[in-house]
Amino acid sequence: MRERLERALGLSRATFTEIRLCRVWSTTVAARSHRIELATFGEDLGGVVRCLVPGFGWGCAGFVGADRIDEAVCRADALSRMIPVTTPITLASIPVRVWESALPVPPEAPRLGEKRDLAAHLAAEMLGVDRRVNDARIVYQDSVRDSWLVTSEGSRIHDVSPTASVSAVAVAEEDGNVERAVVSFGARGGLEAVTGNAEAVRGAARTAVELLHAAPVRGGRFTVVLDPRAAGGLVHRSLGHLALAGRGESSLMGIGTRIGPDILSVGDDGTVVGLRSSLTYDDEGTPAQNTIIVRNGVLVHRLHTRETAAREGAAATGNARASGTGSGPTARLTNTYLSSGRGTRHDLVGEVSLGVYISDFVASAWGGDRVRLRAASARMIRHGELAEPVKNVELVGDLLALFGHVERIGADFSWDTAASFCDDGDAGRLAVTCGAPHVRLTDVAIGDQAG
Amino acid sequence: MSDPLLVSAASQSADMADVVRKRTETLIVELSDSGRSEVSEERAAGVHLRIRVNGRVGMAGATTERVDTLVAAAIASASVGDPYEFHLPAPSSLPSVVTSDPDAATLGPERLADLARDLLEGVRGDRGVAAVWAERCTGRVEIVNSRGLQAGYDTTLVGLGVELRDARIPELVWARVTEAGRRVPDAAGIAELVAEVRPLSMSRQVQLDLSPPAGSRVCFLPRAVGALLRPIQRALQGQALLFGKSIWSGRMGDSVVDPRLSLIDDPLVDGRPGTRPIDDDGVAAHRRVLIDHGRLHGYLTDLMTGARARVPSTGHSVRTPFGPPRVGYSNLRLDASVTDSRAPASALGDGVLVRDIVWPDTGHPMSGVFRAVTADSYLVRGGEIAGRADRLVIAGNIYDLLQRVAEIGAPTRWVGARRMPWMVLEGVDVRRAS
Repeated sequence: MRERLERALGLSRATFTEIRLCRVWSTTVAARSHRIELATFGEDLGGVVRCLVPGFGWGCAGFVGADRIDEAVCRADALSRMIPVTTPITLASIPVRVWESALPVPPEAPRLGEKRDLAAHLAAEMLGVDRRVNDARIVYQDSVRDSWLVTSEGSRIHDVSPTASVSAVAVAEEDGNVERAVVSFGARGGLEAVTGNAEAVRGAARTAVELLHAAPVRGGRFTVVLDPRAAGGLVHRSLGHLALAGRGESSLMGIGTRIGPDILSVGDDGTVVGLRSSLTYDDEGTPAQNTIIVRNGVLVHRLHTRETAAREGAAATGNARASGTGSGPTARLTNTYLSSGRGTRHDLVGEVSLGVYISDFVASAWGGDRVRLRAASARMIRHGELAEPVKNVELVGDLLALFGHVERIGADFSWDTAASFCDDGDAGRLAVTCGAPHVRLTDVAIGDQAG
Repeated sequence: MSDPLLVSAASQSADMADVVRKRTETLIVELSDSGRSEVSEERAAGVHLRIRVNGRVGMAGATTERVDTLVAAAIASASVGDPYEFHLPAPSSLPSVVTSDPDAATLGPERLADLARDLLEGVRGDRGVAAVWAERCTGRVEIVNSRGLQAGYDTTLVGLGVELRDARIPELVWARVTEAGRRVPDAAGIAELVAEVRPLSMSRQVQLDLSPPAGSRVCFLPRAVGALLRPIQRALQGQALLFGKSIWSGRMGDSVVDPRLSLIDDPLVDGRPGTRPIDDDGVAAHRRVLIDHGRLHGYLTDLMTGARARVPSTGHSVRTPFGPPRVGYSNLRLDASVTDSRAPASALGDGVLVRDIVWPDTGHPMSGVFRAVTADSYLVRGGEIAGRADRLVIAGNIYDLLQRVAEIGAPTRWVGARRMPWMVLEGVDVRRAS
């Protein structure tokens, strides 16, 4: 394949040409209560060519199947001379690399029967928790992504990346009241990487049942303790996204801006071994790295593609990621983390007389200059102890002011094993991972009063 | 039966099989205030094979068609699949609808760039950073099955879009407005889009820092109505309605919303994004009245969902190479039998006028509870707009509110695959976001 792609590169007259080719093998098995709804295979083969000529914008051409590469190179070359630009596009320099993954392709046999058994078993585990759990949905998915990147600068990168995930939804119903709870887990590897999680799906079923009788939270301003999963989600969705370059110059997030207290340090590390969203090289061939975004409360770096890095006079950070076989890379997050502080959950909760403890967020959204996060499950904190469950808990705040409310960060850091995805509009859906310890914020708007 | 996948499936004990092939070629020109540009051409192609072996259904998909590999994968899938009792459709006459436009099909990068430049020029303002795009997609859909069905149609789609980001925090999207149809938009179409976005890009508009009165009347303009209908759309899908998972399960014929309203899924209207003569199961498309003058009248389903509920398909299957078949809407229109000819603000009198919303959180379809934050909203006094009041939180139960519709405007135009009227709803909970 390498020779094939190198020959195609030679067809371009552009100053810079990049060819990315991906083959993705995938299986999906979906179980709903006692039924297997779906068991399917997919094989996706395609790619994209990007060309750049000085004084013009990008020319890009996607292709399906390996026999259309030459045509795509010629098309991208032609498109790269279409629209003159007033601000020249340049690319930050990166080392030229030749790298070959040690993992074999094509992938192992699909083992659909075992995957069906796992999905059916987990659905049965959820239904068995309580008679009020009347619907259990399990989706098992895995894929092996075999990708090639060749550039006119000389990089030749061949990567093989297997990942697997399970997501589960439990629905509980009683007297017309319906509640849902979700859980997921994902890992690098195949089927074995996501087995042994029966207790996690039973936990989701118990949460759904518990929510049936949970009272809606009374809105107001509270001290809030976020568990590691919720804290990681908040950091990803707010500071992480704000640190992504490529959407224009940000005056509020300029380098040197104070974001929060000295105890706040945030980064994005694509090199962590074993996580679904870790990379060896990003989709432009930049080596993955650990980039500190916020150090001691102050913004110190943004996350870049080669284009955004050159525009801002920075170095590429290994965050150029493409969501599909035919899409181009943009600056995206990988494994975003909040660094550890001191103390345990017990310490963080024990000092709160009245507050809210939030476990995970199930949804987040932006509107105006505010971020809104909906809790998957939550409990009141009363006199330093976790108390009754509450529902309809939403945390809302100004994007940056929210981190000014951080008063304590625990030492119990962990990477979240959930099969998390970041859906970024046209840029598409990508696997991401978050990591954080427990975090305590003061005077935060919660619930209906939060708006 | 000459399709190689069908022949191969039949030779390996499949008692039935069908194949959907789709391919698209999309040309996109993107321009932004910052001077950046990109011209890209995307290609997508895929085949989805469904077979039944010993009563069990299996599926496989791929972008490149290797017959032996695909059939073997589908057979392996069937070996672990559940039994399904359903029949593939036989060949039949298909409705004649316009799914493509020759002018749109030949739209090149130069004309797309002109459309994008016109749009960018129109929406430029001092409040945000604008990015615009113009795209043209051509495609082909083909469906064949083991009962002899062989059908296909060409598609074109021309889309325009504007994204307005905050000048200080580019991550924040103030507005994202798109329009798409089978034909190339004319100057009037671009002008309508510009008129919708232009007010958002100007900072000089007065931002009122007033809380709306309690129990406000709220006028939702068509885009906002479309967003609010999400729980209704979920409630009307066969997999919810026919299996006791919808608030309207078992209520066919009952009055469920204001009697002036009718909701219709219409794949036969010419030139809209969801227009099609046939669905991805090979079932001929036809209009489906879902709510008729306020009464629950229908639902949407596909072959497999229908088989489980023992009802015929309504022709609403959507299939992609790598996902499960699902039930999908085509073009949705909300008709009103009695309409108000006044301007929306006049009909509202005093209250809040919402052009569009963000954060539509529609909750569980059983509940109908929604909460949303307005992206573009105005306080109205005495029938006149008093000023902008963005970031209002609106909440309520959509099932209740649609029985308390005060005024309904006439649906004026299709926006993408929807044609909605404006509506004044009473009893909406409106608050100012803290």
